[in-house]
Amino acid sequence: MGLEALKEEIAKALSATVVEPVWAEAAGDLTLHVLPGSLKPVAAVLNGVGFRLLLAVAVVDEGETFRVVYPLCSLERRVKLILMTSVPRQAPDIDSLVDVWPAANWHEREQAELFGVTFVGHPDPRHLLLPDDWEGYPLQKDYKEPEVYRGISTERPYWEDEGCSRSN
Amino acid sequence: MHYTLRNKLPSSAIFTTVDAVLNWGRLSSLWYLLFGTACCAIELMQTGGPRADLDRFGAVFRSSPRQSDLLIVAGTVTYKMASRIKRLYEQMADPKYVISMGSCSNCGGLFDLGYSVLRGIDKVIPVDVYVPGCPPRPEALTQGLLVLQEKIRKQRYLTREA
Repeated sequence: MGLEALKEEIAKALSATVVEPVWAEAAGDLTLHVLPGSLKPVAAVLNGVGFRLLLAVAVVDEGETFRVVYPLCSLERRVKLILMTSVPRQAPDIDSLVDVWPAANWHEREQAELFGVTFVGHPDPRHLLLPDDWEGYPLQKDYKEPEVYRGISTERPYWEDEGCSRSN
Repeated sequence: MHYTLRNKLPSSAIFTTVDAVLNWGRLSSLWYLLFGTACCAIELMQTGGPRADLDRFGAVFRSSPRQSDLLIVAGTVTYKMASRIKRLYEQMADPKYVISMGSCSNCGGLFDLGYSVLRGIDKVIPVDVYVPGCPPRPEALTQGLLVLQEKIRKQRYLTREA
């Protein structure tokens, strides 16, 4: 099945959810942009048309917004599709997709602790990699390292001698 | 010994110091904890393996900190792991020694710029011998062990200051 036919099929399936698909193409993969409010119904529709495999959950810090990226794969159709949405930095709340793809569980935990995006409805919103008492979101662009962590100094004097600062 | 020396030597006496005997015993049986945090652990395994054979210096691995005399910190240490390593170190019985193996464990090394990486295990536990390298070859770690043995040989454990 060609990509155009797939697009039409997805658009038809989405018509019930009142979502107008916004298509783009990135590195040869179909890309579907949606608003954060319609993410979950769209995800359910995509799962229904064969995209049963969630490859990852990625977040990009774009300053005012966080872009949340869900690369999907359909093994039966042999095609990839990238689902994207953007949430504002001031209120980075987004629906958890664990109900749709259980594989999202750990990915969402990781992105939540590293970027500060809140996945509403996540069944187990603990930290995945970082210690429980970690403060701040280390992959945000404006992350500043603390001077001290649990009484351990975080300084690295010889790097700063060479012109590298804490913020980079 | 029981069979080879019996009736062959007259009643004998050896003059030495208690410290020397204790030190000889300690440096000849440096049991190290079976523990590694990153890729240096692969070289640590090679050092314990048949070619480098750390065993010939009396160093064998133990899988419990309660039975270990030596902690070889082999690899990158994250802040999360640092508290675990400190716990392991505290579980070891005195006298205990630490070898910091490789650049990461010495100072943060290659991953120094990471937000989660501890810049040197000596910020958390005291270190006796630093072995440089990324990773150090088994010969280097063996050399580190020999240096530590020489350090132990000079210790005055019974008369040390508190």
